[in-house]
Amino acid sequence: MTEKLKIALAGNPNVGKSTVFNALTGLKQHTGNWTGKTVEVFTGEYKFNDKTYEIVDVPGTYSLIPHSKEESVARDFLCFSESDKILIVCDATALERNLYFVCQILELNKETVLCVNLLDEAKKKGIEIDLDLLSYELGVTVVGASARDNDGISEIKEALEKRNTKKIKNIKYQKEIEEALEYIFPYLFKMPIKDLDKRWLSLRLLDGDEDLFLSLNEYLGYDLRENEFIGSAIKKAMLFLNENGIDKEQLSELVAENLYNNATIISDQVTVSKTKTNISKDLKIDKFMTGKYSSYLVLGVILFLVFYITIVGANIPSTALMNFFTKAEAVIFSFFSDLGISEFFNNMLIKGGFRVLGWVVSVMLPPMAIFFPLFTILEDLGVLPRVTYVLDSKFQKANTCGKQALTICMGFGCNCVGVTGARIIDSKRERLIAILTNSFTPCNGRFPAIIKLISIFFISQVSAGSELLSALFLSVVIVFSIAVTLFVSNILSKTLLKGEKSHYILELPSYRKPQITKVITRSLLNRTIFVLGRAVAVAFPAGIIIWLLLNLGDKVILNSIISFFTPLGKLMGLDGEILTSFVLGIPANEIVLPICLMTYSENKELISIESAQAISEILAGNNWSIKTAICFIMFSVFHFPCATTLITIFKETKSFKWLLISFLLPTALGVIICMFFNFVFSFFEYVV
Amino acid sequence: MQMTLYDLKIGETAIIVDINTDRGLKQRLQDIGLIKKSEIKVLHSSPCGNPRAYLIRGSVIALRNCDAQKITVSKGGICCDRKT
Repeated sequence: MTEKLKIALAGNPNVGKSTVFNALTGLKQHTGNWTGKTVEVFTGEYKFNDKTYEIVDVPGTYSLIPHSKEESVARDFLCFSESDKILIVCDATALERNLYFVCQILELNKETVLCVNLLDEAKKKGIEIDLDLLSYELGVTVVGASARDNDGISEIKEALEKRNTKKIKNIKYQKEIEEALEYIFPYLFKMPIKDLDKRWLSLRLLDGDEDLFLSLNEYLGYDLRENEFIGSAIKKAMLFLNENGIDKEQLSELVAENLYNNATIISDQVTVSKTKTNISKDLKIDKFMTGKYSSYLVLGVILFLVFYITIVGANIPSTALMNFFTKAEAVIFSFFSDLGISEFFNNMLIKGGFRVLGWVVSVMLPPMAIFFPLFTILEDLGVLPRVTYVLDSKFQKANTCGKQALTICMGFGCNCVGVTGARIIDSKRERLIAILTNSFTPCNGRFPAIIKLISIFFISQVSAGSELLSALFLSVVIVFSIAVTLFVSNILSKTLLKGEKSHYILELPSYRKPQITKVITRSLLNRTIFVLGRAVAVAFPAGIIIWLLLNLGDKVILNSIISFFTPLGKLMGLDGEILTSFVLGIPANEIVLPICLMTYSENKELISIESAQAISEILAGNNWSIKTAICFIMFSVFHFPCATTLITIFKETKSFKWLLISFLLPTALGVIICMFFNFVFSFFEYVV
Repeated sequence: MQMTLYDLKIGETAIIVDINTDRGLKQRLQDIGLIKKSEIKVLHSSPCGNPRAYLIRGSVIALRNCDAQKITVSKGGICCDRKT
């Protein structure tokens, strides 16, 4: 039987923890997580000298005192789980602050290996660290690494294999605290406390909060404080502290201060060649990135470039995929016919289900496969935190948090990702606002239709630079959607989700060169494939339903739905067919325009219409004008979220109330905006 | 005169005297290395002047002005606890 060692991987955010994780486990990861570095714990495996190691990537956090649900997960995993070893990754360029967290973990007195990462970056900044001395001072094995170049990875594996023979050094607290610990410490010998460290536990019994005790009780299976000896020992210790002028709040402050002092002393000792930490390069870039005027310019250019690359880059693979699926469809169809499957079912499955599936994949996969890697590259570069920094004042005015800018950005890729990504926002109120307004951000599924309409109605002739021009128009739509998001967020925080704005504390990490190939594999794995899988799961059944509507009883059901929506559609500058398409397109936004074209034509199957000219003829034949196109685009941006997003919202909020609101709010807004545009246009037509 | 972090100009350095915020924020600040007696420097501000970025213990941290106003500092006082 092979042994399997469970290793918890911990560290501050932005220290290259996921790089170490990837370097250790390669592609052998079970990714339950698809919004990037947050939330659910994900695990990977590797083999070394016949032993299997399971690495658990604990969410990045600054301390063992949690502030959000996510950090509680991290705390519980490090303090209260039976992992065999802990691997801490820390940043050589900010060793002092990192050591604070390291000291907190070392107090747990578990087998620990410390990896000092980013040594190359530190060297550039003029920092050198004496790793042997650090190892001696802390009493653990220390490995230096530059994980992005795979430097030090095999050393980490070796260190994790060996048993640690060193003894972790206790952190000495000031006299009063040490004496207070003595009141409790001896009693813990008689208690069943599993593998918890007695010194650590004594201190936590004094300064811990209810959240910690909840997890502690769950881990131990009983409430330690209810034991009469422990209970009275805690009381005596608190009394002693009070006599020395220390209350509970001051105690936790003092503990932090002591830990920091310890961290400062050690970091000063082990840091050789103390030239002043050089961050001037970062500052120079920051001057431009966050400057008064340049920042908006930079933001605009980045936004524009990302969309331009996505749109242009997606064209060729999209067409190729489409051709592939068309050929595959014919092959499968004739194969099924040969098998003797009835024509009705064959049509339903292949020309209904399979065709829509093929459509969704070819329209959705290429832009996703381009957008998410680009997004991850920006994340790696350190640009995204600056985006929230620059935009935070706008969000402050809306009483929300700058981090919402990031959820909006994720929403451009896919609203589900944006909704899950809202977990990075600490305050529950602000998180809900970000979730409810996320569908205002047009996602990749909606771009193709919007772009097609833009190129048909706003760009007269197809010529060189037409793609550039449509990207420009698209940017206008996007800026409008962001403005509405801010406006609605503000209204929400004054009505349904009243409350004070929370705090905004964010680290602006160093600018780093992204690792292109790793980025591509990572984002393909984590984001694209997952989102695609979900979309495919709904596309096939949706295709069958649409096919049935078109082929059963001479379109009776379809026509009655259309006539039901016609009055409302007319008021909104649209028509019954368009609204019906939006309703039928609820499984995936990319099939809205195709359904619409199909209901106009006499076709009984979804047809892929490649040329803009063919589309524009169909649309013109059904009384489309610029007004219709604008209203269609507006409703495409502001309407109920797609089925996948709705499911995600329910999973995140666990409440039918917010699910309902997330459905009604954008829909009502879309109806109002379309009616407004319709009214304005009709008025001008009347005047002119 | 009580000076707060918000009163510091860009480029100025000071020592933190006290943090008068609610417990949650205090703990958050503490985790990122912002505690009494530590040195802090104003690096730059975002386009609208709020939030601003500070250098603390080698890392760059962004804080909103309303939070910075609750942190009192003393300028020019030489910190006895830390070698510079």
